[in-house]
Amino acid sequence: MMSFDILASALSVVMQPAVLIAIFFGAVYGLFIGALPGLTATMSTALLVPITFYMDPLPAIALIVSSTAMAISAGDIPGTLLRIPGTPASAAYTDESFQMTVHGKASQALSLGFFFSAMGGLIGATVLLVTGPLLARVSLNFSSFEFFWLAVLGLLTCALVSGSNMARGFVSLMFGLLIATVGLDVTTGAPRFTFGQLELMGGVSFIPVMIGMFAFSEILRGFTTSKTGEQSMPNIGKIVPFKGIGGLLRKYPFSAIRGAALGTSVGALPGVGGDLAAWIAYGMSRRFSKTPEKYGTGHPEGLIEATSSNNAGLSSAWIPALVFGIPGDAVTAIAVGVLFMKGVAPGPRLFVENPTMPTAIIMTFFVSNLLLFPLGYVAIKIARHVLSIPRSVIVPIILICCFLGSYAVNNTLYGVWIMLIAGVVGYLMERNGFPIAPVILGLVLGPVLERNFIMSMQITNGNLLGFFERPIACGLGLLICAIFLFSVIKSVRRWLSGDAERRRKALIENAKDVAQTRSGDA
Amino acid sequence: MRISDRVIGPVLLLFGVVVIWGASGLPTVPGVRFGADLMPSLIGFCLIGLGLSIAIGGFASKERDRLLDISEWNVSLHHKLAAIWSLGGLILGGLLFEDIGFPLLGVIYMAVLMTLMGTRPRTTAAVSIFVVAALYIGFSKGLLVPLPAGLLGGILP
Repeated sequence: MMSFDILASALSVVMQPAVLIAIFFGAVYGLFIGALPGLTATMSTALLVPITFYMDPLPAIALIVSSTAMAISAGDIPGTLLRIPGTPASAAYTDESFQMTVHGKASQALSLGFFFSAMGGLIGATVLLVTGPLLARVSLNFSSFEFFWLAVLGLLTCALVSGSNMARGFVSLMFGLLIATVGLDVTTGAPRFTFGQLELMGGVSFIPVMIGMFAFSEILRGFTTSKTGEQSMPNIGKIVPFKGIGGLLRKYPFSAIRGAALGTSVGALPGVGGDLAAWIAYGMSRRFSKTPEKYGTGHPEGLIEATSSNNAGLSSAWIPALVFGIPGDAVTAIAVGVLFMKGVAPGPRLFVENPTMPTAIIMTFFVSNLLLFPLGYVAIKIARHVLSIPRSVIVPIILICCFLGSYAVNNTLYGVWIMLIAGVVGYLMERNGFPIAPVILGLVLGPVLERNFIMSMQITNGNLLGFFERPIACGLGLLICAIFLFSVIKSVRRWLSGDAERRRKALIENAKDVAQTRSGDA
Repeated sequence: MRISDRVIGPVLLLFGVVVIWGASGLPTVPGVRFGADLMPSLIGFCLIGLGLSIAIGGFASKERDRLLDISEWNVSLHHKLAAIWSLGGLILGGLLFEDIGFPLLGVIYMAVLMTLMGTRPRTTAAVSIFVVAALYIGFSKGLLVPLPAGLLGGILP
């Protein structure tokens, strides 16, 4: 646990006007992006990165934290009112919340979404505040072996959980790692795959790749779904924000806590992130519920658990990112990249050398989640108006922002070309069932993985058994081998039983559905 | 746009071979056993393995899907043109960026796209001019990003 002095110092830093303005701006921006169908929290974060160039490290991260927290919560709005999940995380319970709207409980569905998201986020932030310094102290003794295995664990789990096909997840990962090798080699300084281009000497900048893969490819996908037509909003009745929340809290006290606990645990796993937490939480809530038959009919119990886990997972995904420097999902990968750009290297040393910085970052979670209450109130009030902004106005604005954001990386068109290539590649990848998140994680973690791998190989003189000699490294290595073997055996058995073909088709159908639901009225 | 695994698998396999070939030509440092080629070579071998696995799955599949399926692009002509312009317009914008300048190109790009997506002319004109002006001032004056004014260089501040 950290000292009171550090907490006080971090709080005073967070209370500076620049940080508070960044948090507020990020929250309003996240609210707007999250509320629009088809625009994800990751996409909103990617578009923010060019603006962070011109900010100090803490306001830059505060901007990302608050926009993501708000976008994830606001993602419930289109899900509740239009049955279009605003973000992948809210897809787990979209049907349930829409059913509440159909039954005239839109106000309650929106209110509980914001309220329990904030609650889950605060619990997750508390866990991050308590465990971060403790884990950092333990990981100070880590060597290149442990960091290598942690990076592998993050990449492996991300590749496994990002899609339903293991091989495709690994292909995405390999693309990310390959892009990360472009530029000067981390150990020898030799140029790799630069093709004589000076701009490639410093490597492929992750910002245009991210903007292209998450924003531009999403827009391209949207054009393929013009047949879906206008989405009509059901009669949502009178909106009274946060009415009846106290009653729900008394009726389902354990759901919120269990959801937050689950979200925190799942989100903290390197490479998994928070999106998966909502799916598991909703499923678990149904299993433990006394009234499972009510699920799917507009029952708030599952919603409470899933929305709590959403934001809790979002906070705890920062545990591996801040403590080990190993991002837990695409958003934290972006944030870690931003910190590196600012000369701040996340990892255990940061907690020792500059403890105020990581503590202040964690504090921004508290402020951002507390801001969910007042801004959530406003969001619930204006929800239907935000949804009425036509996509034909939003899409051109986003595309212009993609162009400018990529150009601003180093004030040349190099970033724009990278963004366009990444956008087309990202579109082709997603339409063919290749997940995007492992590409970004591979790109950000590639240098960390390679540096620690080469260093470990030099120490052991190429003996791979040496990677298992230290106790924690051995534990992590065995865990990774077990996960990998289990996944391979499961895939082979599924393939032999003929299930693979069915899953492949389901995967493609699912990709089509997701694109349609995300894109709305294109 | 769906591409069959019977195409994706062999392409990945070939790509893996190219990566290994490219890595083998990387300069080595005397006395350094694990150099710049190690990581790309490992990635290349993984791509070969993954390409093989996807190709086997594709060829072993009982149903013969089309090698290239573009049926999802059976959308209205306006949407097709909007998609083409969203990409082509940015490429064109990049090529003419210095000569014509961001303000004019930005307005043209947004106006064409909004028109193709069905926005009314008055809204199109108002939104595209306002958004581009706000972005130009914000980026070039606020964030000091040197956006070329191009043809409007003499008029704009």
